[in-house]
Amino acid sequence: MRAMQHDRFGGPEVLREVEVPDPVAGPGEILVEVEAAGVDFGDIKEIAGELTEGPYAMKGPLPHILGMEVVGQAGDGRRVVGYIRQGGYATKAVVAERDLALLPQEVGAGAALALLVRGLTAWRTATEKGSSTPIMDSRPTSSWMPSAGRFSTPLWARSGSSDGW
Amino acid sequence: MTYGASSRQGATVIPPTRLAVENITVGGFWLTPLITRDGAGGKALEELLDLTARNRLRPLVGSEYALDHARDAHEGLLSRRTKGKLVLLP
Repeated sequence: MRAMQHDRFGGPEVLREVEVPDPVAGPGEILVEVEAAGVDFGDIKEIAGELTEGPYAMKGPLPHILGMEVVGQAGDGRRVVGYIRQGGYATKAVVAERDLALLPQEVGAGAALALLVRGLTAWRTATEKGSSTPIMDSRPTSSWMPSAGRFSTPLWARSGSSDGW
Repeated sequence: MTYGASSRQGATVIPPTRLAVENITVGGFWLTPLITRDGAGGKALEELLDLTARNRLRPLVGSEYALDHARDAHEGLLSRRTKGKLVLLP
């Protein structure tokens, strides 16, 4: 497959187009033909070597293929959007079944990619903050980076409504 | 509430004494540990996709780039000129 790979840490200049063997799906995973891959700000930190410590370090061995968000077609015909730890900047990617959702026909690839990290961040901060502690008394007050914040306003509005989540 | 870190500058420092005086709790949030634990699929993502399919949410999609122009996407993001999700097309 074709992929954008980096074999050292740095800026955008370290990304190189390469031809590498297709990834192989393990148990609970599927191989998809990538239709579109999202670029996340985490990719910038990862390629710069800034996220190399702690339990969730995003440091694959080098050379490494960035990319945590993909929309793709599975061998069984499903069109899915999925979160992956690496390998999205490629023509093929392996996605775990637990990290994907079927794409409704009406939703474009770009919109689906925007919903993954950004949408889920907005969802979880608006509904549960990732723990049992509700943060219903909080409200967004400013958002100078409008990515997750863009989703939060409607989600916040909804979380306060009578039908709840 | 503030989101994001694309300026790559540190967050505002809040003196702990002020938290006590005003009965404030400050928290942080990072999605990665949660989706590592729970998976990214499931009800939340399905509901977000459904809200989008029904036009109740309108995700902002930014520029599209050919896969081999991923550098341009990174340069755009670093310069903070872009808006919306940047997409690579293989």
